[in-house]
Amino acid sequence: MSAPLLDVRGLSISFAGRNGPIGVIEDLSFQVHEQETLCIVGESGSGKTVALLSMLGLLDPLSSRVQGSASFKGKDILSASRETLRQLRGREIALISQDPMTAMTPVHTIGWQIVEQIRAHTDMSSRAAWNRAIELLGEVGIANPRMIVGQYPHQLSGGMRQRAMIAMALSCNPSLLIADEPTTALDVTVQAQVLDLLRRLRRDFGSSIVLITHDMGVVAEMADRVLVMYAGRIVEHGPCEAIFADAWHPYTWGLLDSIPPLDGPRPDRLVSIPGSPPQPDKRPPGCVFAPRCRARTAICAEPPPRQAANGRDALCFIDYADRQARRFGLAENMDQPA
Amino acid sequence: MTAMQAPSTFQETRPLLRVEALSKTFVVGKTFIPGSGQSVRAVDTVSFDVFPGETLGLVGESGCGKSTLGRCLMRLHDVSAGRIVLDGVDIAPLSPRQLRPYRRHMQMIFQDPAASLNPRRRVGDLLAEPLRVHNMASRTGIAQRLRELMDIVSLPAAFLDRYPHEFSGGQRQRIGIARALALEPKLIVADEPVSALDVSVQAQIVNLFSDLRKRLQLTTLFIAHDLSVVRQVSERTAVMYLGSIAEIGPTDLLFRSPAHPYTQALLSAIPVPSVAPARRRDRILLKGEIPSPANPPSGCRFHPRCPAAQERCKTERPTLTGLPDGRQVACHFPFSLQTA
Ligand SMILES: Nc1ncnc2c1ncn2[C@@H]1O[C@H](COP(=O)(O)OP(=O)(O)O)[C@@H](O)[C@H]1O
Ligand SMILES: Nc1ncnc2c1ncn2[C@@H]1O[C@H](COP(=O)(O)OP(=O)(O)O)[C@@H](O)[C@H]1O
Ligand code: SF4
Ligand code: SF4
Ligand SMILES: [Mg+2]
Ligand SMILES: [Mg+2]
Repeated sequence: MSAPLLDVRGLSISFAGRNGPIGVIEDLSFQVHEQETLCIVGESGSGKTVALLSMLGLLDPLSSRVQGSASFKGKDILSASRETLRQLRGREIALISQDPMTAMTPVHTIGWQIVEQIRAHTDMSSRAAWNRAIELLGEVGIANPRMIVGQYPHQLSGGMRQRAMIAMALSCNPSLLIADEPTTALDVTVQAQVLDLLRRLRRDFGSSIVLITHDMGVVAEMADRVLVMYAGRIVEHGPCEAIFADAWHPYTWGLLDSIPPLDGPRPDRLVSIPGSPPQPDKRPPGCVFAPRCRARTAICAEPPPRQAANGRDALCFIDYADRQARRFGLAENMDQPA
Repeated sequence: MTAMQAPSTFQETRPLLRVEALSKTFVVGKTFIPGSGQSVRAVDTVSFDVFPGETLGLVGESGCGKSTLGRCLMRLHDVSAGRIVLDGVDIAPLSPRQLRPYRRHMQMIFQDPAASLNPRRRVGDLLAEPLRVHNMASRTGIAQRLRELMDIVSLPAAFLDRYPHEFSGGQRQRIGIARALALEPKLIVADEPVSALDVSVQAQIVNLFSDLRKRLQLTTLFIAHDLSVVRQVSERTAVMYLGSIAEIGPTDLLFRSPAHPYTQALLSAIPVPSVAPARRRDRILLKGEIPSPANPPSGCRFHPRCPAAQERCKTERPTLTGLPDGRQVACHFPFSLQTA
């Protein structure tokens, strides 16, 4: 296999807290290969956004501490200069963030911003760039692109802004598109359009995509490989098919089982994960998931090993021979809030 | 499931809530210049019943009028036209003063419990407040009622002495639910009560709604944009588009074989958390987005986006019509996009 496009190793991030540094990301390692879609899934607060911001040099260096390494096309990006990263972000890596307002300038029209973006990276004439902007806005599902190009970000609805930002990100045909919950604020019919768009981007331009989401449905639809994050750690990683067919980690079981089904019989009750995710400064020692884990045993008070086989791994004590029995033997419902 | 043949047990009883031709028009951008301002018909001639002990799910994309409808039912808005008959009394025309005795019979649960809970008051005070306002219990009675309410939403009674910010999102929503239940309302309108929660926590609250329905025979209008959540909690489901009901009927029926092209598209758009091809529906990709209710399309409101639209749809607006299987649908050509 060729060298990965993005290679992250041992990434740890902490923020300055009132009583010393608070670790938010713990020893994160993963690769993104050419033309692949990697989904990062996990509940809010698990550290998905912080991890990607650190790789793009977008964390405040005064209040955060980043350790480990990250390289893009073989070049170190964690220690790269601001200018190098800025160039990289426009040309090779595009970021679609959760909040479109951060990526836009309030004083310029949508069209102006897309045209600027296109002209910075190509030698297109401004007329051609303007037409391309209209075309891109149409492609992201905006019904009246000719009108929208002349509007300012604050004049658009949240969904329209999100789509305008996607259009902007697509304008430079990035080799890596990092999309942080790009459809979370959108309605399902619009989400379907946007996911379709991302798939086409990958097919037509060969871009790699890192898609951050909390929706297992989106993961099933989009991912080649999946990282499951919980409390700042990768608790499970593997090919999409394998994880949906046979998840290894009890947290992944919980994520999958807590979704109400759209067809078949309706269960009397959903299998939920008890309690809620811990704040970064309240994470337990040993296995971070232990307080909410139905399969926990006494040994889980110790840090669990990363067990790996067949191109996948999980951060858990459960022996692979035991997994099925442990998952489906957990009949009792621990629905009480912790 | 035999929803097709067996008439729902609910339909034999008198509805607790009957909504008749309810409309709500907002005037936006009005100035002193006569004739200025644009009217937005957020809820357009909506009629439906909710039966005692039933949960009716209300789905549709953002801006289709779900919250406005919910707020009209609670009479947090004045209504522009139509009737809201709650337990035999039409509350639509009542003044705020006339409404007062009816307020405690209808309670709302919101998406963001934090915003609806005063951060400076302890949970116990928050729950006791409605009881005091409505003279519902003696001092000793209140203490007991508070413990009962905490038990109903599975929170320890010790939490009564704490403040809302000390709780997680899921726990705060439990407190919001306890508060709504304090006065034993006849009708609950829950507006996106699980939308702000993480999936794992969402499942806990969805289960709580199922429990409440069984345990307290609650009558609920459950508003959500997430169809799988609505399927899990409601006996019947109504689908709204641009202020009107597109389709309403038994939940199992609607999800198994949707009749309205919009219901079909909506269902097909949901990403299924499975990689098994058999679980996937053929996707119907809709073009564009919901038009503004300030300037709705002619004829069928859905026709510019409808893959099944024909000439007639551009001029003639379909009305909500009953089908033999027990549902109602507002479409000239139901089932024309059958994908299953
Ligand atoms: N600038 C910051 N200073 C301190 N803590 C932060 C900062 N940014 C994020 N965090 C904390 O880091 C954790 C992970 O946050 P985030 O990456 O946003 O999670 P996710 O994107 O998975 O929802 C959260 O607990 C959050 O409160
Ligand atoms: N107070 C208001 N004033 C003017 N327009 C409103 C008001 N509340 C809602 N609307 C409009 O009514 C329509 C329906 O909104 P809403 O009921 O909030 O939809 P939903 O809850 O389905 O997302 C939208 O077009 C919205 O902009
Ligand atoms: S290590 Fe133990 S507590 Fe942690 S996920 Fe595995 S079984 Fe559960
Ligand atoms: S009436 Fe016509 S346009 Fe409207 S939903 Fe039915 S087929 Fe589509
Ligand atoms: Mg995030
Ligand atoms: Mg709403």
